[in-house]
Amino acid sequence: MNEQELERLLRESGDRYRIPPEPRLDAIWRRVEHATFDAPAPVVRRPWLGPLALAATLVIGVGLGFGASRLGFGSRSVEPAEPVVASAPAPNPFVGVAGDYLQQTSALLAAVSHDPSGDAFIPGAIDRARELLSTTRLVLDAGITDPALRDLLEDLELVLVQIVRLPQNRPAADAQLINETLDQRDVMPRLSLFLTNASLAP
Amino acid sequence: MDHNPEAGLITRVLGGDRLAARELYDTHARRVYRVIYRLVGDDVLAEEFTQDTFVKVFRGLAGFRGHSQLGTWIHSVAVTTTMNGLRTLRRRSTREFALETAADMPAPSRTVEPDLKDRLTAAIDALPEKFRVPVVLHDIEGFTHAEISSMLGVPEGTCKTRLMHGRAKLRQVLAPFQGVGGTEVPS
Repeated sequence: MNEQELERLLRESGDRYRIPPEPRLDAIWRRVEHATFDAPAPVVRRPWLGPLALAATLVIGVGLGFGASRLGFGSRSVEPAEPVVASAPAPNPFVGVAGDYLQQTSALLAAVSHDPSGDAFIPGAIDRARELLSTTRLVLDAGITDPALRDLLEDLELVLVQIVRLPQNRPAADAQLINETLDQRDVMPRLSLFLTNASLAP
Repeated sequence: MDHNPEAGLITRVLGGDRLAARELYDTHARRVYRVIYRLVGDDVLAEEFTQDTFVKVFRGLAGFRGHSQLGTWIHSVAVTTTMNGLRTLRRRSTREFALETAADMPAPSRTVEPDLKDRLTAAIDALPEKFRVPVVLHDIEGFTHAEISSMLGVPEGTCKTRLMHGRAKLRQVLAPFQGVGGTEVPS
């Protein structure tokens, strides 16, 4: 086969190689619009860091300091967060945002893990997981360097991806994989401990 | 950005005009989704990465200087987001996702030989990522080497070399099927 024949075949393969389904452009737009324009601050003026990511980094980073020491991860401080704290004009309003994110994630995972059969899968769980997945990625994109915090967030992201990928009829085998991930990585205990420590932080 | 025909639209978006943002999104979203889907082969991930792409686009739009077409820049963000996302998921996953399984599997054996195009699509899937991406972007999606170079953040020569190697591997796989042009049988 010569180069020209291959090029022709490749051009023609555009008609059959991974043909995308009709995209849900309106649904995607709603989430983009929410993440971009409904954030606490005009994010287009801070392209280097989304406000939500900033907020979550602040709160989670401080919380991890408590959590990491109690979990035996060492006395590593949350160095990246400190200069941001100093420059943030008003961090307090963001505390609720990050706390809500963690609590909502915890609640969703608890509901999913308590429903191994999938028969009574909570309505809207997949949409909720999709929203939380976006938030998780924004937080991760904020450049968190603490390995313990990053591990927890990456595990949360993995589980949320698994939930998002569940088909509407939710086969029990797929649901079981989610539970296995939660168990193998001790996601729920780590998340609970983290929430507790964060709530105790002054 | 002054000479960019989309400068007015960008200015409106930066001013907080949601209608302008939706106009920008509508102009590019379908193609972005298609390109991402070609790279990941999964509608859920394609949707997620499309969403992440446009969030990053709107957040980074103030930094766009018009050195390339807006569409090229948006696709650069899309490809970077997609490749980073895939690597993160692969690194983290305890089980193989369907998309990885599909990409690594040989073509299914059949009693009737698949036609050449079926074999080609399976061969593209089986290419290593660094060869598959240039093949998909250039030969299937029709982007230029300059555009792909910008998207992947590699020199144009590297892009051409990867495409050449990708095509060579495809020819190697397809030659026995067609019975001409090669003697090596893929393992």
